Amino acid sequence: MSPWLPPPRGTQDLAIPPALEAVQRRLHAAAEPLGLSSDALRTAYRRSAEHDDLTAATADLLGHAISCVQRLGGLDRLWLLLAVTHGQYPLPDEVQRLRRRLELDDGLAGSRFLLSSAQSPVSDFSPMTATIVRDQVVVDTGHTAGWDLNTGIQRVVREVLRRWVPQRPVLPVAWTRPQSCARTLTAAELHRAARWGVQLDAEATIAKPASGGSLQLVFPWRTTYLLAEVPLEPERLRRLSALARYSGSRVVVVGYDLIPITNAAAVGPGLASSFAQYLSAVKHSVKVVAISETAAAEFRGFTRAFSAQGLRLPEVVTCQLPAEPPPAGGSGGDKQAVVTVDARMVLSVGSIEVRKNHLALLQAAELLWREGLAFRLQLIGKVSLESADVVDRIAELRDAGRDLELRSDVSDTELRLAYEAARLSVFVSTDEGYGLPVAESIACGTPVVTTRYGSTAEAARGGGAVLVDPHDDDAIADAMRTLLTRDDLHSELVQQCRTRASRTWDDYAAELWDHVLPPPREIA
Amino acid sequence: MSAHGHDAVLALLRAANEVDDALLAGLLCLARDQRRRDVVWLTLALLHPLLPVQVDVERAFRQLRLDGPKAVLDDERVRRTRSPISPEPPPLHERLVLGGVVLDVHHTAHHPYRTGIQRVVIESGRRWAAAHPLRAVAWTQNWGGLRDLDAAEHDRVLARPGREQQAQALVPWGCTYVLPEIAGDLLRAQRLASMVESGAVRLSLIAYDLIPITAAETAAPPMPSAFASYLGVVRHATSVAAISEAATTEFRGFCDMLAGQGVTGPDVREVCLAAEAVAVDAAGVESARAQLAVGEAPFVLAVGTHEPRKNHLALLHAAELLWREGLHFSLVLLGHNGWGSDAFLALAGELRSAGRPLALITAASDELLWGSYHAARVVAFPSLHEGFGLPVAEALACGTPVVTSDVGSMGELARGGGALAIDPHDDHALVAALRALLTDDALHGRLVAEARSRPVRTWDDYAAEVWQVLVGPGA
Repeated sequence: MSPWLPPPRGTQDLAIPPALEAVQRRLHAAAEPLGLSSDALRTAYRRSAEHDDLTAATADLLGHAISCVQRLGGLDRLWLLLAVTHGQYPLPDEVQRLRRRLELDDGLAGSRFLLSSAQSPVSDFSPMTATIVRDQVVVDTGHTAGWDLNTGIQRVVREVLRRWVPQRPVLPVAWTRPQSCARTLTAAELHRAARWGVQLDAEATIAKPASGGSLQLVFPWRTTYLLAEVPLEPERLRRLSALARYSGSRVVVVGYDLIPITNAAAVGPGLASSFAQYLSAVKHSVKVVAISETAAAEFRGFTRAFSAQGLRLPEVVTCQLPAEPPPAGGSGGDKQAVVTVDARMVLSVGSIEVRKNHLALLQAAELLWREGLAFRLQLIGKVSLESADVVDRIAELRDAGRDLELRSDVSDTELRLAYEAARLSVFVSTDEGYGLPVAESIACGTPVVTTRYGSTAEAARGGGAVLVDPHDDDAIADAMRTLLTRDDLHSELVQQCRTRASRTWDDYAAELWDHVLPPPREIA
Repeated sequence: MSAHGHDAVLALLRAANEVDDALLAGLLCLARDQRRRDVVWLTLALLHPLLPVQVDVERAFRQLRLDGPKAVLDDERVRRTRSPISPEPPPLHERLVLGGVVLDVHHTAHHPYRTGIQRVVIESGRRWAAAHPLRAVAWTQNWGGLRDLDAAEHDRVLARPGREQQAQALVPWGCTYVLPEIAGDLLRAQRLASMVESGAVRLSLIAYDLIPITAAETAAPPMPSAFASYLGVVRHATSVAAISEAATTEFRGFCDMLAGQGVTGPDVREVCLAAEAVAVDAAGVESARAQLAVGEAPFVLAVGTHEPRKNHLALLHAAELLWREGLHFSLVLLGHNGWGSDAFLALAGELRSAGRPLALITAASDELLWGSYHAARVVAFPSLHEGFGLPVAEALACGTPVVTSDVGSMGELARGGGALAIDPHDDHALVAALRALLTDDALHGRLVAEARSRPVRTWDDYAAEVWQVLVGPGA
């Protein structure tokens, strides 16, 4: 990367403190949107390099920036000025405080205010340089790029980025350590976010920036910011909320569900406080792209709930997640693999937690076993901390000799084989944003017994499923019995599964892109 | 529940003298034959010292289906021995509350301070208790179960004597359970939710606002979690009386948020809160003016806790802009320091050091509060969001003009006359409205007249309408 300004002649051996230099460099990066003159930038650098009073030189530059921002107007410029000065996204009240301060005081007092708040212990100067993003979609991958986990949400981000990164104007970002600002990714992070599962190349094993040069802070300005994760860090959320309100950027959110609020008992009430902070950021987004019609209805409910606050409400649209079988391992060999369906196997996929309603499934299974029906029940899912009741019940039934198995660490390939081998699957969760196991089961050609309402009912709409009341154990047992014993009905449902048009990740990624881009009138 | 099934349960209860095997087995047989979770709940509530939570009910319900009443009873007796030691419960018939209205006023009975919610509980509770038979209850220690209010609590909350015999370990069944408070304590919420979800009682409640969820940025961090526990109760309610149009919209929005759970949530109706002024004589007004005003200059009054949602930073900024214009007035803020009040206190300190006529009163008596409503030139309440906006209603009831937000419940109140409604995010709109009311006597006079001609909404009206919505005409 070329130096942003050549040091004045004869002063090459002089260095200015990196923190203040970084402030000046970031202001330089933001010169055009802030309307800064190159003279002012050059003068400040020269004075700094010549060991004139550094603070005064920076303060003068900030004074210049303030007068430019006051002349041009706009809270988005104030947001940018605060952001590049401090090297972090401002908090909501910081923007308002600066605006009010400038209304009362002259620019000099304002620049002292900016400097003093920047030097407070809580917001130390960041030494990183900046990139102001105006024509790319910034994609927040704070969790996906940073962690090897592959939850449902991370899977969505990875499948989308895998398709977007090579072809679309996107910039994936992660967050700085104190969760105060987005930054560019290292090569390893980019690999994790956009090339998950692909053999790691040597380049990506080191923590060097994906784009060469050094890692940079990313300041989205009058562009689009996609929040496809559900961050729960309070600091990141408060700064995101201010970004949505003041940066001039459109924040678009992928909406999964509102379960931590609407069914707190099922996920542990502690989560609700963080999730409510997430909703504070969602509230200022322009659009929520929901993963199902049910999720869209929930988010519309949320927008209705805060409509009394006089804010502009985000538009809520549906972009249904795909229904593909879990990815098979190896390359293409799976087409030849013939899996024999085990006529006695009932499969249930989903983490072991209250909301997934395993106790109802186990009750239904026990009713059928007592009737003398022979079948094997296989549960695949991670055991959550709150699921002692289910684990105890599984142990009881196994002790009683029931043909019951719980598998917790299962690869995608094994999962796919399990779906294909099962006679039927059961997914009677009481509350889902999407219900991936329903879509996956049907995509694998395996009929599914599932909940008769919400997103699972949506997933079942094209055929291949039997719908039941998840609160009625006998109804679940009846549906399982039918699919285990009635070959004619079972084949009919298998046929329905096979003839359904399946929605792919390619479809989803392409449609999501259309939702993320601003409508033409907004571009103008 | 079917009337037939209901009668069968009542017959069993009436035939019994104590909680014995015959009664419990009888109830469980009935629960098994009619697949009744409410009867399972009743059985567990009678058997155990603590009221059940829903996992207990579901477990017993499933075991009943598989192994029958005797197995359930045997297992529950083993569980009973593992429960904490508790005093012997009173005789069966003192514990049962069969039918009628149960009124849960736990917080109001326990905590003598008066929040807006407690005020609503007391004003409506007293009127309901005078007009209808009802059983007022509170929770025992650690939210284990329900008890009658003691004599002092009964007198303080409902202004009438309570029952001669106060029972512990109450078991309501087939009742309308009226909850006029927010039940955010985890165990209270869980036990209450189970009582309602199993069908043992029908729940009606007063809904105030959804602020911890819809404006979490303005709530102290643990608030949304407690509130989400409360929402776990609300979703099972039958009837909800919301205190304003805005609160109604919020709770209907919450019902829409339940789309993924196959339930529609309660029927939410608007019953607007009352706004009655407390009369103050001329001496009271003069005393308030003497305490709060600076010389002959008018004062702007703001009532409310100093927390970010109240937007007091905007108010201080607006006042400073007006002082710089040379306007003579003082600003008086009555309210406690709440969560996140640091920035407010810092700015207020700066302004006071600069000699601005600004007074912060953190503990005001009722006399001073009502006297100051009357003595103020204008009441400013530019809150970002409210369930109701009591200071707006109270100031208008006193005939004092108000500057308030044009959104939500405050916008509703302002539409009735006597107020200027502004965008709370626009400091300059606030400045303009305050300037107008401080300097334009004709406008001020017109708004005073409008405020005085507003119809008075009384607590009698409110209490009667809420009862209609929550309990219905039959009770």
